[in-house]
Amino acid sequence: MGCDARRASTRHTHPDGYVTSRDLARARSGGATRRGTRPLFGGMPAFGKLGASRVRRVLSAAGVAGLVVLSGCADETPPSSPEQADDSAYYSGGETTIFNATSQAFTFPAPNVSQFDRHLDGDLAFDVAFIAAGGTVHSGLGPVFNDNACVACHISNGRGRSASGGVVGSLLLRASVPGTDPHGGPLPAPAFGGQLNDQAIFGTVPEVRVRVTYDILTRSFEDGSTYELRQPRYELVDTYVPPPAGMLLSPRIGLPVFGRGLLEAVPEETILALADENDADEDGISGRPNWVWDVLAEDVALGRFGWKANQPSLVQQAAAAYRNDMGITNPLFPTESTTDQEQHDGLEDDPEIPLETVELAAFYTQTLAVPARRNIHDAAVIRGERLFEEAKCVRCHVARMETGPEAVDASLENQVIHPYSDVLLHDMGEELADGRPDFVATGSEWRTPPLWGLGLVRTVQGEVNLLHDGRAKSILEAVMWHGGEAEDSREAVRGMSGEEREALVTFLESL
Amino acid sequence: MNTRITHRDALRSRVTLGHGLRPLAFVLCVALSLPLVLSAAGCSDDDEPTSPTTEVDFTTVLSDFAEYVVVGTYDDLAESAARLVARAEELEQEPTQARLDAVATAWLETRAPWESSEAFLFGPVAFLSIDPSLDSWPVDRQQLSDVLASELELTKDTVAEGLGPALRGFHAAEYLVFQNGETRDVAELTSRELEYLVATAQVMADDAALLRDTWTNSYAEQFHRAGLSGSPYVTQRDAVLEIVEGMIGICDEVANGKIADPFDEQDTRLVESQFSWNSLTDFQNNIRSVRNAYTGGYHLGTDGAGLDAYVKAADVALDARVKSEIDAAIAAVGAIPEPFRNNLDRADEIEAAQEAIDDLRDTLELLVKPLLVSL
Repeated sequence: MGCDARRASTRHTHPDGYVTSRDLARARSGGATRRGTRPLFGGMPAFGKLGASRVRRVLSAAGVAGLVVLSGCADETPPSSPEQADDSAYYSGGETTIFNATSQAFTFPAPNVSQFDRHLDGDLAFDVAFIAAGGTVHSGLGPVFNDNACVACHISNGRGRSASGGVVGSLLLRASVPGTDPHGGPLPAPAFGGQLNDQAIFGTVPEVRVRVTYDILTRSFEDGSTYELRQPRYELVDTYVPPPAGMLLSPRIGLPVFGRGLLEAVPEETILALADENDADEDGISGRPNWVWDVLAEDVALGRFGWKANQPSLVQQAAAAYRNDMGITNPLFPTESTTDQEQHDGLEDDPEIPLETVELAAFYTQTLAVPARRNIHDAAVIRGERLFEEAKCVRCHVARMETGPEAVDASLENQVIHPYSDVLLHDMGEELADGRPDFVATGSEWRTPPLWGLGLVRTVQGEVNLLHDGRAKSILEAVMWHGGEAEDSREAVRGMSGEEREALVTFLESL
Repeated sequence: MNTRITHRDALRSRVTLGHGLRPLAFVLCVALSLPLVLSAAGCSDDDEPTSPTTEVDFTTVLSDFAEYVVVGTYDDLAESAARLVARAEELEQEPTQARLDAVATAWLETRAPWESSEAFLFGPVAFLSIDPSLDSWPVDRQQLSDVLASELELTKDTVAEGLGPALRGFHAAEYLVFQNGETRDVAELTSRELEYLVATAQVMADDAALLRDTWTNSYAEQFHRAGLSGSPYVTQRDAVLEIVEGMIGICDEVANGKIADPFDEQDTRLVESQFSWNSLTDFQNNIRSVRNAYTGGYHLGTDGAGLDAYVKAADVALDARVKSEIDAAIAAVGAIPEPFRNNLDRADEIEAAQEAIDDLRDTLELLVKPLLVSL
């Protein structure tokens, strides 16, 4: 076991080793878990505000942390601080980073969160399972829906499950017909709306059942070895009424919900500066912002969230999910998704949840910790990162960004982060295209998804299911699905030796 | 959605007034003694690049955890659930009070291993969404009554595929079998209810078998091979941490969720297992599952190697403290008068139970976890 004296000696200023960062975070903020816990003291107030007993708790926590520091024997080369260049790459989320590689890795509060109580309240909101209207508590589900809880499609705050055969729940299909709505967004499909709901409360017919099957495409690397791509086919069965002709569909699985507060806090000009709409630099990569409708501001805004960057804020993202995925109306989206449809019950009650609940659920996601990278000093990881750069993957998967000085929580402000995303749209080629425009995004454009946490996907949810519909069963398969603007990068990977590809994947697994 | 400001404030004052008295001396004592222990445990000063394996070998404890704790518990769960199906089918064939009582007993016997599994709500139970399928709360009574009033054919498939998680699992079955803490009068059960009970029990048994089989067929091996290729855990330490996080998580959920939610709101509707009045037994079994996870057995069984051996080797007092705090937490929950739902005003006993569980949680979080991952 390596016991590096230098690291040990520097750790006392920021004892954020593999071991103790969450301990400290908990000690500072009072601990946290799925259902919340007793705060010892909220946030990081001045000691002067604390009673004597609380100070004692501070000391006790510091004592524990100090003990690990003194022992200095955690074997992973523990990072010293975000400022120290050598180890800064550990801190994918800046000071919101947490050191944990278990299945719970996406569920911790940012260690520097200011409004810890609000985070816990948000956790409770995010955790609710809804039941039908008329129920005792948490009622209002449906009448048609995809699932009944946020966590159903964000397993342990991660992705949705991939589907095979009958689709239920965590994979959904967006729907529209050609044309745009008054704000330039997709035109909802008559009788189905903007999303197909495959579940319904009893007495209502689900809008549709979806079946997915896969064709296996076998292709070759330049060295002659082969790989497989799993090409999905979606089939609508049992539609409650015949679907409109030419209905456009786009399958989606839930994205991980951590780290998004940081992306929201990145200044708009930072993202726009990365855009190159007409490929002025002639590198074959454009990068376009999506301009979408902000419901609260009643104005056009930069899209940042969702597979096509079609949501401008996490509050609107959450509000849309409540209403579209669960049938829970709210002040942003006050009408049931069945309104104007045959199965509408005519009950346009008050919004089933208030804006505050939407904001709380959003705040929970905004202030979740980002898991730290692992093994960054391994030779294969370093080599893989160089290959990642050489293959120009970093043109879109931008490694470093800084958040701005103002955010919904102070923890998110002025952070150096490593999302590996530019939050922009890119043409990804015909094989990934859904053919369904979404505001500015064409039918073949997708937002560069952040790659932080990528290596923990299997730990968190037991399977690897990447890309917008979970089709890619491995990181390498996801890479090899890239086309369009990413075709040159994909071809670079195709030309790599087996050892190089392995290093590339090892790097990606360290994220 | 209720906010929890009042609840938080109450918790804060509890922390300040009653709970902040953890002796500083103890902490200092541990802080001073542990580094020595850790040094003795083998802190070489070579500068080799770190390897993903820890020096302390946790192979046996991980494998015993998977086999004796997890599979042991899920075996019991699957077998009990199968018995629940058998009793429900017998009841449907000939509804007698004795047979309904037998169903009630079988429900309680299935409930016990499930609640004893909640210190390890990771792995297939999460990946496959078996937790919500078996144990969603609240039960959707409105929809359930609509379903019962309908002509929908009630089979395992219609319950599993046509009706959501809030209409099946433990609490749907509980709602059909129990009322006010007692087995219902068999004469009150309609034939539709009997059909629904059988169907929902069958779905439960399938879920339980799937859970057990997924562990025995693949996940147990992935888990105990932590640090080796094919395991989702890069190091053994990550798998050890997974166990400890699970223990911490259920302490938190019992003290600050299952007990706090209805207590803070003084709202009986939020009490889980309220038809059977089994809530306090549920909570105690949750804490017993912490003990099982810590000691590597199933309900005081001594079959496996547990994390306790490592803690004990490094710090005898800490191991004793964990075990006594487990006992104290179970006892404190037991001191709340039955049934929980009718005694939400017993603040002294309820807060004492919350504090006892929080003490255990803090010990695991602040002392046990750092120690284990530092070995």
